[in-house]
Amino acid sequence: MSFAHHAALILLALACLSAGTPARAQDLPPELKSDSDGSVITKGAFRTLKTDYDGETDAAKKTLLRNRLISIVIAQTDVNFASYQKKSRHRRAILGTLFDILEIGTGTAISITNGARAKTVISEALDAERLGRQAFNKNFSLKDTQILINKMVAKRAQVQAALLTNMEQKGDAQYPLQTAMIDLAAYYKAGTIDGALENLNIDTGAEAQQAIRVLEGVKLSKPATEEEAASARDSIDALANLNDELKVAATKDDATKKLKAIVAELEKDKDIAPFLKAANISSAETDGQVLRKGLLNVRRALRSLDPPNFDLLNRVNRVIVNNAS
Amino acid sequence: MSTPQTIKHTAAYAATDIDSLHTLEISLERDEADWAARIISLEQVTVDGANATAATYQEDDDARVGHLTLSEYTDDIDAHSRIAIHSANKETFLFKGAAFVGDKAVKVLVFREKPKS
Repeated sequence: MSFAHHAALILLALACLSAGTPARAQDLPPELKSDSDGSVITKGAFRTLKTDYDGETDAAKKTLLRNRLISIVIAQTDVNFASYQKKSRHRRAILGTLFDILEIGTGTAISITNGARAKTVISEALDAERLGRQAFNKNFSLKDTQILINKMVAKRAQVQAALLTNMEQKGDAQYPLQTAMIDLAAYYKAGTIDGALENLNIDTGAEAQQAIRVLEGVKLSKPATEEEAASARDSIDALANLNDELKVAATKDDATKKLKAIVAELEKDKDIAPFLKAANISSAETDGQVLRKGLLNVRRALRSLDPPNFDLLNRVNRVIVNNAS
Repeated sequence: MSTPQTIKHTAAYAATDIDSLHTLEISLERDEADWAARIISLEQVTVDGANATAATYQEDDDARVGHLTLSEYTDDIDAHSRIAIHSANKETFLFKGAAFVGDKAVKVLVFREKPKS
């Protein structure tokens, strides 16, 4: 036997062996799949339930069937999302089942739904699903980033909350399955990279479009120096502490004395005295709260001047801090 | 009996005057303290055609004011994590706002500092 004959026999044997190997790459139809991939339902079972829903005439039973169908889609979408996060080896089968049941619901909705807008929305969602399937196949190896996952989680929670509220509060007449399919498609999309990117864009766009109000009747204030800010903080802290002391019988008289001392010293300043008069306080006052609130109003008045008198304010603040301890 | 009217004040800080978030923070603290008022909003505005940050304050005779922390954030997720971190430090989240730091528009979270014990 020649070398050529030997080679031909080896090739023939290899061909026979490969023909006998099971075709593992070929996916089983969803109806024939076992539940081991984690899907919550098969395409066939979902279609049966959908047929029951379509044929039901009792409003209460129809609502229950609708809720069941919605719950199944939510659950399958959740399983798909979880498998995506965990990179489950069954993710392709799970996604296949999800697309199948979404298509059953959405395809029927297009034929039933009245109103051009709803049809357009569902139609676009369906296209997105189909495109999503391709994108999923092509891009699944893309490295996901945590920010996109976070965005997905946040958006999914938002869409799911709306779905559950509608399920609980609305009967089938107000919120039929056909309408729910729009939200369910959005729920699926919220858990995709495309959806997350889109939401990021929407967020950024919304923020970019935030109207910048034209402010009228307000003049620009100069920014604070460290000293101004510290002086203002120390002064308001001192007045807040005196307020606490005024509320306690044991410290009330002492606090009142301190407030009287503050006002007495400020009365000596000819620039500040008119503001004390306008606030209707003097060192003769014996009510600590009247003195404290009067001092707050003096400070407010100086800040509200046009332009604000920060020099006087700093003087007032220094006197308060020096006499309050 | 009538409800006492709430008095509010608004201050605007020119974008070109605010060179950092810290400058904005101390300016807000000064004005909270001087007006004895709680800050309630921070927004981007224009004043005479120029970008500015407007802060609105509401008078409160009894509140402890003047101690704020500003934190820049990028998106909602970032905001949530920053709020969680500041809350763990006993800082109270007040509101989300927007400001100009220089000519840059920034989103900020406003917190009340932890009260001194």
